[in-house]
Amino acid sequence: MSRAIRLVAVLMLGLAALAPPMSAHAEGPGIGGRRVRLDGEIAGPFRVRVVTSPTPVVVETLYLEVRVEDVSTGEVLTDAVVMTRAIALEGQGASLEAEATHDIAPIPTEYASHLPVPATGVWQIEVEIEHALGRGTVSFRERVTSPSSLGGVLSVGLPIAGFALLIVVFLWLQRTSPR
Amino acid sequence: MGMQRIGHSMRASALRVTLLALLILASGIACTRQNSLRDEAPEIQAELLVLPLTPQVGPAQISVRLSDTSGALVRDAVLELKGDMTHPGMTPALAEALERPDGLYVASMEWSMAGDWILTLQGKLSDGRTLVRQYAITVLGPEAGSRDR
Amino acid sequence: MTTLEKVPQRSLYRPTPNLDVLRVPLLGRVLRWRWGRLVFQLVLLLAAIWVIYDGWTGPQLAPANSATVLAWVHYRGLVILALLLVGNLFCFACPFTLPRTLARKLSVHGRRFPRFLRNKWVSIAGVLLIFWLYEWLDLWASPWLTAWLALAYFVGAFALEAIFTESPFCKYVCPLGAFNFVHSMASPLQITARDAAICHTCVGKECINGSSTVPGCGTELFVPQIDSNMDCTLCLDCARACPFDNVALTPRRPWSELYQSGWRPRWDLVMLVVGIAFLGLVNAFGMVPPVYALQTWLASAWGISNVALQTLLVLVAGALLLPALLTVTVAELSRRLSGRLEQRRAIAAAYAPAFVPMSLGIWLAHYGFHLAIGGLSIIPVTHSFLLDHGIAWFGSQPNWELSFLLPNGWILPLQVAAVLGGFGLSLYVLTRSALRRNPIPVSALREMLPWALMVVALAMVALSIFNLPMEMRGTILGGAP
Repeated sequence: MSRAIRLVAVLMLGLAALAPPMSAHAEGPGIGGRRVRLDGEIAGPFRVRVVTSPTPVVVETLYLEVRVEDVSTGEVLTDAVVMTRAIALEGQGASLEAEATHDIAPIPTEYASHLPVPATGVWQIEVEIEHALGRGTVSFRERVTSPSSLGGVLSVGLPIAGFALLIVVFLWLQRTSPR
Repeated sequence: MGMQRIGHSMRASALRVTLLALLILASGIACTRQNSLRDEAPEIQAELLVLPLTPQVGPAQISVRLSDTSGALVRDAVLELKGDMTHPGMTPALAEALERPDGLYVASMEWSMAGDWILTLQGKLSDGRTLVRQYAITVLGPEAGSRDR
Repeated sequence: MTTLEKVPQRSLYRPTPNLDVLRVPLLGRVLRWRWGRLVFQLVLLLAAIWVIYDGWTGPQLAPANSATVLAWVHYRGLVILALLLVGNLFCFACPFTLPRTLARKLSVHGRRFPRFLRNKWVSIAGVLLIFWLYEWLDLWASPWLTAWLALAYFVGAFALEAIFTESPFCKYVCPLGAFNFVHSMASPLQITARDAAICHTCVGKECINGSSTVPGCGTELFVPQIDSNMDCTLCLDCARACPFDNVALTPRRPWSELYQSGWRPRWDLVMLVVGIAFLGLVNAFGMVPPVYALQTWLASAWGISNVALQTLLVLVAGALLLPALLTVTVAELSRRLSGRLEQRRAIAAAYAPAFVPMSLGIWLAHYGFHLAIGGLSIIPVTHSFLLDHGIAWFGSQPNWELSFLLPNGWILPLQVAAVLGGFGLSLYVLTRSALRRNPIPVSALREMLPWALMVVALAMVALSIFNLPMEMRGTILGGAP
């Protein structure tokens, strides 16, 4: 009995070791699911749209894509200076700043930046725009999560827990059964 | 016995007549069917630019350029876009493409799931004709590792 | 008159007919009425005619055509819910068997279905064939092919009914029926005799032989010996034919059949049940990103770039060879751990029914997903269909945004609950089966351990698949040539 259970335990551990979900290795703006966070937001003379990725945002990987339009004409402005900031609201990690440029933007007329947020929690994200037309700032809050996948852990953990419960039930039955 | 055979024969005839009548009825209905999506302006060129260039789950920007046989821009059209997945039962993505001063029609859409999409461009031209075009687009999932630039 | 085959003696599981659905006022009368089944069949016949007509003449865009929406969203989702909540309702109202009367008239020779085919291997092949065509030809994306598939079912049922005396299509061939038979084993209703003593003295055995006005059981089940929903189409001909009104449709604990009924030690039955559970995984796997990695690997490592061959390989490997290999191995392990001198197939037959709840959970999670996200899409599709025929009763613009039957946030938790529910019930059935065969708990545990590990692995894979983001790829702009 004990030998069989030991064998089973080793097998289950082996399965569990194999099973942790593979995280997405690719990185870049737009990869891992994009989400529109602000759309048509007015900031001074600008109408701003901000897209974050991945979804959900995880530690070390927050990408922002920013579209800037002239609020009066609707023209997309490609010659602005766009600064992006992440400010920790839950007291963990230092604030970050990066300029958003066209270089890594999936849509060439937009601006994109990478903010490697160092810790989980709620962060204030600010986008500041400077242009001949004037200056404008927009902000929103973003929750940054751990890169581990809870779903993946549950996929392995729950069946193992069910199996462990089954063993316990049988051991209990054996103990209480008349000899 | 003879009466039974006559009864069988009459029933068989009735069955044949019913089947024939149903077939004629079905053909009639089928002939009266009119597909609501009918392109009445086949000579108009409709060029589509989908951004990001490699479509991925999430927001997208779609620009449409309409031109006539002489290459001149077709303006003042009212255009709508409908993105359908190839699997039935999926909510389509709908958007109106608004005309910009430069003559391009631009719409914002949201690809809700990775997979194959059929983008239907439907609209009314200024002369009242209906324009219908379909485009096949493959949208990549969150794990996509590379992007076309 | 049909002669009954000699059945090996085994303990019969029969629910006590405390409540009889056939005696519920109005409903019972409708069900027992001679044309009661026909009414429901006609409803589905109309749906089938709509599918075929719209598939051939309607827009070849799967989400906008009733053929694809009804067949791949509603039929599949509702059939699995019906099996879970009531029983084999689709076979009960199956329209494909409607031309049976005409076919039977043509069946002058009255041949029996060949003996070597009277098993579930043909069904298994049929199920694999249908899923292969589905994956290869992207049937879900083609209203035109879906319509042809529906017609093929009518032709297949008609031809077999015309050639043979019994209903071989239902019992031995129909892939839909095979799927329903397996999962109806965990359904809460079962046909049984109200009083077995009456059956012992019955001379005519009309429930199986038929009466002057009503045919007997098409799949040749004898009511007092029914201990499983396997092969029962719920047609209720037995109830209509019984001169003593001694047939009941009675509620039972849905999972009790799975550990109480004694299966004959047949590999075909074992493989049907286990294979369909694995097929559930393969089918769901076809909708998540790793399948494309697998296809790429098959093409680059083995040079297999033909999609037909790729899908065939994946299906045969995942839904036939892998479950067969695992079942035989696990049966052998189980035999060795228990120390029993028993055939492998006998042990497999004792534990295979435990895969039914797991299978039901996997299919419910998959087909329920499609129904939950697309259940309402039939409204704009019908609206568009009416507009195509000049009927504008409901306005001139279908509301294409109608789709979700349940809030999006509920769907993944419900999928996980379905898989875990099936998993828990499978472990429970395994436990009861093991304790029934081995009164000493430790011996029971030894024997069932390999089977439990197989169920654990199935649950892990199922949960992992449903946790992945779904992709829906199919023939782009496919359809009628």
